[in-house]
Amino acid sequence: MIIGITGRLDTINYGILEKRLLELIDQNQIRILVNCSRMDYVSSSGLRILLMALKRINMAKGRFVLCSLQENIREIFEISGFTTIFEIYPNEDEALRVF
Amino acid sequence: MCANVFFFIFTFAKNEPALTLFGIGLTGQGVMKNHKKHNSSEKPRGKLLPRGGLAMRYTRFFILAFLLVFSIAFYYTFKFTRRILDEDAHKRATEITDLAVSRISSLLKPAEQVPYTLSLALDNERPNYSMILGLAREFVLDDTVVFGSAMAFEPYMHDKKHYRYCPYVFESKNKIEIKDLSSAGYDYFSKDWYRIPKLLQKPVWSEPYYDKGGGDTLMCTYSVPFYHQVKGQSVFAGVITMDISLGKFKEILRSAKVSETGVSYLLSHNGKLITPIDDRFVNMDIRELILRKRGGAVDSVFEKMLRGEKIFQEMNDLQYVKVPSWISSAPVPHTNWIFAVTFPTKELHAGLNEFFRTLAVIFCISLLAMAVLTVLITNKFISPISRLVEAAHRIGQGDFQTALPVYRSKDEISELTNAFSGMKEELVQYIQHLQEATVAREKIESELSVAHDIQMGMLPRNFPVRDDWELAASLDPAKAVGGDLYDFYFLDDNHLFIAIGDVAGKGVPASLFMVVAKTLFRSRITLHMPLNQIMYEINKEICKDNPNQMFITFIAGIVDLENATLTYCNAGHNPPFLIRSHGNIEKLSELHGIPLGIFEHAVFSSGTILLLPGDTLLLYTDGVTEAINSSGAFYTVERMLGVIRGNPDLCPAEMLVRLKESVRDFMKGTDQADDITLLALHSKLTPGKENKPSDMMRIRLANQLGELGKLVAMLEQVSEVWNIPAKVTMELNLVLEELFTNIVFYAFDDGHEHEIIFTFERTAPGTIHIQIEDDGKPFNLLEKETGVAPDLPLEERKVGGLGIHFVKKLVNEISYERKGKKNVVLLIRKY
Repeated sequence: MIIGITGRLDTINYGILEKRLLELIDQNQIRILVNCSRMDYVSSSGLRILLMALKRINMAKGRFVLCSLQENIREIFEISGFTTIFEIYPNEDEALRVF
Repeated sequence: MCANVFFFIFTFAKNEPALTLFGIGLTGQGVMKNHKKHNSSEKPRGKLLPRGGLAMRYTRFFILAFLLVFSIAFYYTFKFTRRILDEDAHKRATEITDLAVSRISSLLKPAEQVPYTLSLALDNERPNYSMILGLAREFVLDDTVVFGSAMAFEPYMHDKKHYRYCPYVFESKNKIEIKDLSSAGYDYFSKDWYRIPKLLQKPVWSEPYYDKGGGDTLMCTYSVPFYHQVKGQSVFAGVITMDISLGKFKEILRSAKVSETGVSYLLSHNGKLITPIDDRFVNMDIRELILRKRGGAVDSVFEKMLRGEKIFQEMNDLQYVKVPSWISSAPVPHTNWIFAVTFPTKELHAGLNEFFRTLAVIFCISLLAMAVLTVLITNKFISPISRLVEAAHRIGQGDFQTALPVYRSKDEISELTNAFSGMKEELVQYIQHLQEATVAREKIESELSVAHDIQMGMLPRNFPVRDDWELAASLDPAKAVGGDLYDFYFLDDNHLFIAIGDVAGKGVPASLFMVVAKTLFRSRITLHMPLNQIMYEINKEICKDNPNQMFITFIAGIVDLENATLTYCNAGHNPPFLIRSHGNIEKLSELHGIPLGIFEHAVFSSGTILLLPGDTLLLYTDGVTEAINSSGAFYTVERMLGVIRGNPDLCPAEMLVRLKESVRDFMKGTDQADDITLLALHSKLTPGKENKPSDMMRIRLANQLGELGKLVAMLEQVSEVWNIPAKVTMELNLVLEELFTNIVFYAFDDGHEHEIIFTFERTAPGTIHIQIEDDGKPFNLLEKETGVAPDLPLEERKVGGLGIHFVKKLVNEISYERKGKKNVVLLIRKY
């Protein structure tokens, strides 16, 4: 299952992503790739959601993987230490090979 | 038509009956055409239609077709008959030729036989000359054509005394005389009639000649050599001759006529005339005589003829005979003579041509009669149509009760009459319905005009006069009532709601839908819910009771009048333009959702911009940009922007007037196709306020998460003005978002509205100070645990606390202070 995030993921709109991810997990869609090529901005609220989804999916023995992070966003992930927790791939093709 | 007549006379004269026929036909057709022309130039109104019309056309075509068919048949019959005649002539000519030839032959036979018999008699040791001579004498007396016979002896062959001896028996004045030709010193040894048979050792016919030595007539000689037996051997002894009088043959020839004007000839095998009609021509080569020119096919025919082949041929180049003639010839057996007879073809064909000419005349007369009859009969069939036409005229003038003609026979015309009658009935009904409908329509139109007034009354008119903001709006519907809308009203002292929308469609249905939407917005817009959520709720309502699946493109916006920010949501509508104070025009192209009314669960986002002093925001509908002029060209956005650029520093009301004028000029008389709606909001330049980038900017926000958009907009503005790199801006964004969010969540718990103030200051190039001040309970964000360590495994990570981590990491310095009743956070970032 591939999800794309476009634009900002911040305190105002993180709820949309949260809702969607929860839906998918409930439907047992636990093999998810998030394509972040169009994600210009992510704040702690957004990261929180990604973290929550990762935990839940791991518990359900699924896979939650990210790809195509923008330069700046990648730095944010590094600062927050998320690069060690998440599987991050440079592009979709490589990410899909994992599944 | 004159050409036709001329053609007809010409072919008649030329004896081509078939073409004549055709010519007559064409003439007749021309006559009929002229007649029709005269008739159709009359005006038929109120009068009977000319009888000529349909009947004439039909007859013309029919006659023409018939003419064509018959002409072809006629032509072929004519040709066929002629051929039969020619064959007949051939047969006759051949018969006559054969007859003549046999008669000549029979005449000549004895002339041939006798010398032969005599020569046999002479072929002896001791012939009895006197007896032989006596036989010859009897023969000449009896025979019709032979008038003389000579017996010429070789030297000393008759007796030892005579060197030359040639007794000649001949007719003279009905008596037979004998003469010795040699007595007059007549050297016969050198003559052809002696020499040639001697040489050839066989009988020979001579060419015709005048022989003075014998009779003084035109003659021809048959010479037979004879032999004596000398010592048991045959020795040439002399020549016996028969002289034929050619005059006799003249008689025979004269009776051998095929036709009145034909001529017969007896020819030698060299082509010389043996018995011409005119004695002057004797011995002339017939070809010189008869042919106008020589060479080619003509010569070869004569070659064949003279070789003795039977000939039957048509010749065109005969002298003395001006017309084409047939020539028939056959050889005369036993001689080398040819018998030929000529006769002109004209004579032969005269009868045939005469016959066909008469036939043609008869035919034309009957054709004419038939034409007249056809016209009359057709008219009879067509007259019902004329009557129908009259009835149609009466109906056209309004007399619906007029009686239609009665028609008894069951055919297409009666069907036409029935259909016509049915049509008349329906016409009456239709007109009645039309009248009723018109009355109904007029009623509706008057009601529509009332509806128009009501709708226009619903639109807000007046914006209060202020020294900080100015607004103007207008709506010009295409029909009495329209599907566009605009709205503006104050939510509170600080907040202004503006909106513009366009219902898909026009007229009453669109306008009703527009009213529903407008009312929904008025009732639902509030400051207590984020704009995008309000849109979500309103969209759901609209979708619920929407049987006709109508939809509306919409822009809803809330202006924070003090902070000069606009939070707006564009649901599929034309992107508004922000006209900056320095003249640049920015297009706000962000779309925040699909038009309302389409999808019940559609979600919306929103955007926030800063309105700087001097800026004007322009909202419009596509009735402006898609106005069409008479050549089908659109007004276009470019033209609208052009008007704005060309007229800087206009206040909103003036701008609207100018724009509407421009559109009206563009359309130049074509009908307005769509509603034209405009709304302009202007932030005035207040005295004392600078519009130059300053080193300090401030924004006040309410303690609601929704205000975050304004904060972001402000930060963008600040970045632009102070040239802060994008990466740094993003990091500041993260920081400010965290701080703001935390304050909103943790600084207040009385449920009231509070203010959070952000102040941005550029203390030095490359250094920005941001101060955040709120009047909530004492709360130091920085004391919270981050819960983040780079190598902390997943399970032990806490979901919260990440934000503080960012804050600390992404600023150069940060400090907290409680000043009186306020929390003050100060951060410094260098870039």
